[in-house]
Amino acid sequence: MMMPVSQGNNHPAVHKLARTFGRSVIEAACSSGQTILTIGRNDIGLVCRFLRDDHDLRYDHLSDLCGVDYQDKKPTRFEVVYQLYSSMLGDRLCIRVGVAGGDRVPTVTDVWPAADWLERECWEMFGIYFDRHPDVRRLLTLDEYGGFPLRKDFPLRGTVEIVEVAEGGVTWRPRS
Amino acid sequence: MAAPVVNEVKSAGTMVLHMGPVHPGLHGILSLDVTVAGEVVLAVRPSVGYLHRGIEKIAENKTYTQIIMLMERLDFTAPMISAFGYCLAVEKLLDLEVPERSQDIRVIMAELSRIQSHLVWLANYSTDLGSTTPAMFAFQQRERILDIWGMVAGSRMHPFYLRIGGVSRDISNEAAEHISEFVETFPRRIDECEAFLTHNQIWIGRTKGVGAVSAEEAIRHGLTGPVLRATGVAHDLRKVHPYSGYERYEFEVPVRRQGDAYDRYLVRINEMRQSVGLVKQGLAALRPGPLCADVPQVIPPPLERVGSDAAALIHHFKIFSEGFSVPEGQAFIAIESPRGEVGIFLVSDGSPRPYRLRVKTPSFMNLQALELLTRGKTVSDLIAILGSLDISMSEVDR
Repeated sequence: MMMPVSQGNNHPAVHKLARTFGRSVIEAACSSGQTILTIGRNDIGLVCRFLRDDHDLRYDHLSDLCGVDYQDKKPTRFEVVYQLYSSMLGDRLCIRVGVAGGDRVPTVTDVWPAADWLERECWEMFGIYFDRHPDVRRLLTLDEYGGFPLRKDFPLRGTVEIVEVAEGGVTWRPRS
Repeated sequence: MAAPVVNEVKSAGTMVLHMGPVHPGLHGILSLDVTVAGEVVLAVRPSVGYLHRGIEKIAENKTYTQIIMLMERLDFTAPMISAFGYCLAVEKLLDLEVPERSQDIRVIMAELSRIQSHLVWLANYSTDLGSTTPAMFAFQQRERILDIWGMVAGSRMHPFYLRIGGVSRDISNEAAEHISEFVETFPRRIDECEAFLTHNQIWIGRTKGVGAVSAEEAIRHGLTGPVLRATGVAHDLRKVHPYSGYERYEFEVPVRRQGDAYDRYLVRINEMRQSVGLVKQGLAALRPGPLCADVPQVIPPPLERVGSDAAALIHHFKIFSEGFSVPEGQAFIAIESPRGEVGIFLVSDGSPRPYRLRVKTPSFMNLQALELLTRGKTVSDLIAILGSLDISMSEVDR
């Protein structure tokens, strides 16, 4: 077991990021013993690259990337949440980025190829578009599927149902 | 996810081979568009989503207890492990201490799950590569674990045994005897399986040097579990960030260096041996004590009281109809499943249903790296590589 890293405002990444990226680091919070950094949307690619390459931090694993729809609970409707892990520090760092409807988020696939499918899933489920992602297509739902299922205003049972699957394509009808 | 089409010739000398969605070598419903030049794989494009059930969306509309059942359906070969991670995440937000007896029972069940999952993998993988006898041996042993689960939890495949704050019922003496009998005899059964494979020239020929990946590449592509440990990285969450009392157990983390299919096989075989030790220690550590934390807001009263005591009946009814509220906040929990790191990200808004439940599964990340591992290899290697990653499609699609 490794020495635990101090969390919240004293987390080593907070100071370093504030020095390099200034106002891009919007907030450092702590929930369930884990530091959560809120980062400006446009700098997320650079911040991730910095966190991966910095000699004292080395956040080499991207454990997870997902979207959350806060609707009107927060000033920006969506959040993209990155779960990073440093095998050197043995620390998990959570980074979140506020995204309003229609905003684009820079991709992190060039930092971690692992983000490829994760960003595709985030796009198809929430409609959050990732800029410069090499292959933005739907991943789990059909290519011609409409709507973003994990948005809070998307009904649980969906909006359409399949009538027929044939060689020419899929026929849909609105769910009554 | 794209609709499957027939094989087509792309340009001179290359063609696109469509494998799946139903194919004996694919371990689930998965479709691969493989661009080949003769026998050589130039590119692989997996299409996934055939088993997408929208578990994350459904979970937003269920109470915290109901979701345990959903979590077990992520991966049918190790149902208790994803439920385990989910329970830990909820317990973290509730700031709930699980009694030691339950912690040990959870470890025993998690390790039996690991053995079970590895056995199913061994059976499928050896069949893929043309050796069917060890598959029969492995399934025989797997059956014994399913019987144990039936005895302990009442159900063989999806036990629904774990609860927020503990486990649903105690291990009976009879079940404990069965478990110890299993762990006593099982190492010899692994030896029998190994006798067929480990030094078998055909097996070595099909797996050694096949699908090798370096440690740096594995980390960049988010690979975890036996696939990562076969590259020489001793990253096992049970050791690095112990949960549920794993710090009280003695075990080794099997590591190999080459990162190929053969090393993944050996890592899994050795993990089964370590799990046997863990189950033994867990059984020895079991002390009498409560099974669930004493938090009436979350834990229902024991069933014996529900039938005779009106207050207990109301209490029981309220927890199972309304559910219980979890304080506002977010938590990320990662635990070591047989396939790698399962991550549960839970956001609560203080209501009895999660605001957002995200499940990151190791199969999802490992399958993503398939192209990296197979480019330039032959089509027969593709099957050997895909099998060696141990993909569970229900876990990929969720």
